[in-house]
Amino acid sequence: MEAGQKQRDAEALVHMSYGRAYGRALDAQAGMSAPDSRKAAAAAIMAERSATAVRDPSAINHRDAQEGRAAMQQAYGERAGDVAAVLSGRVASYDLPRGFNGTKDMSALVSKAQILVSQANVESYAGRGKVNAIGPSGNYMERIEGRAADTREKLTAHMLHVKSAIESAVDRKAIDRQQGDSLYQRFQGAAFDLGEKKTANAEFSAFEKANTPRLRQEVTREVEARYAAQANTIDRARSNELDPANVSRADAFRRLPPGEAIQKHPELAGAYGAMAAVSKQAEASGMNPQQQAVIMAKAQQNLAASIERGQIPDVKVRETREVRREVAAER
Amino acid sequence: MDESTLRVTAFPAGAFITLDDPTTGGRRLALVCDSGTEFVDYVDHDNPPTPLAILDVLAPEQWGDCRAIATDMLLGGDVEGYEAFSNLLLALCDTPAGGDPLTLNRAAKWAHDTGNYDVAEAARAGLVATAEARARQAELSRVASDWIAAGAV
Repeated sequence: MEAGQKQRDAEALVHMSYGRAYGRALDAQAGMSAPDSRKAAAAAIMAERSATAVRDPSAINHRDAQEGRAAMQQAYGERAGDVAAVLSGRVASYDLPRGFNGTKDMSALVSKAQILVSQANVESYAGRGKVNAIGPSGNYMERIEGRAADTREKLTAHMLHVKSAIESAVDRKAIDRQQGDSLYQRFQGAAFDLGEKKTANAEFSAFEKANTPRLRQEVTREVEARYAAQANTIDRARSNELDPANVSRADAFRRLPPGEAIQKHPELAGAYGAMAAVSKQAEASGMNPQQQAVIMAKAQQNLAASIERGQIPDVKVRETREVRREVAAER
Repeated sequence: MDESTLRVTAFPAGAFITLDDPTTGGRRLALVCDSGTEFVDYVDHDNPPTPLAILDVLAPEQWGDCRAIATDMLLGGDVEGYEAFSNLLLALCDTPAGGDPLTLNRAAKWAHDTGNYDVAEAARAGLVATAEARARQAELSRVASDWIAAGAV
């Protein structure tokens, strides 16, 4: 799954979980005689605690996600975008580099940042009246100024999202503190790297070279400030997140071939035993291969969700049951 | 073999270049390595490809990159074109073509060259071009291995 889809899934999961918890918290306060604004504030705090608890994309309900997005906008107004960027960063299952090698996800995140930086530069330049627009865009100044503000906001939100994803990986112990800091620095460096673009316009090239360090400084300051402003929200979300060890086990169970997953987490043997039992059962029940595939996929989803919650099937228990079942069958 | 055939040309590291593709007769997009005198045809973080020399005989030329296309559109006064192409670039980052800069630039170049800004089609074109590059490299490796095994090299 590509990085863009992971980001969209993470946003939908956060909105969905947030919205459900927000609604429940408002319902629970229905009979209380407090001002609506106080009830909404309390509901927002409750919702933040649940916002990052669900990480499985198969659990997404898009209608609930839409309602959750509306609830978030109602609760935070202009800050809703920051809350979503930070919380979705904690949920997105990006494959982040652990060493100096890159990953596809990181490459996509860097490319997006680079494109936004490039757009911010040229729009800033054009916004100074440096371009003679051709065609029907005579009023381009207003249009470009609006677009420049939008691009700058997109860039800040993107940087905030990636910073949060890296911080979350550190919290989950997927990478250590030093790796996390170094990774974010590398990401920033790559994002604001102008590369070898071969632009014909020398005046713009000079502007871009001078403007990029300034842009980097301003955006970095803005990202740090906005991330710091979300500290309480992040703490609340973190308090209800799943045990990193179980998330890692579930991730391995979902993504790796069985041999590799068991080598990494031997305690998953029971889960694969359970899958084998389901497979046998599906075969014995006369299902066709497509039906068997659907059942197996569903079983894997359910088992992964259980593992994430710390319920790992025990191989010994099931072996005993199997033996009992076989003995019973022999009788 | 003429010595000039093996003459190499240097480019800035990280630049995108176009060069002749002797296997198809067309031009292909490639990424210049840190050495400046070698290029790669595809990016693979787990199994990096073997860099190939940027030979003069392949008529290499610096292409720039997809960001520069958008920039030049706006600097040239084409605001609508700039907006459409910029939106395409951001959308491409969210497709499988965004997974490496070479495929992303191939997709963007295809869209620019054909004037077709459909995200899915551009992404597909980039991915196909990268898959073809991988296949070319695999074929070259196979031929080289065969020749080595036969004692020809």
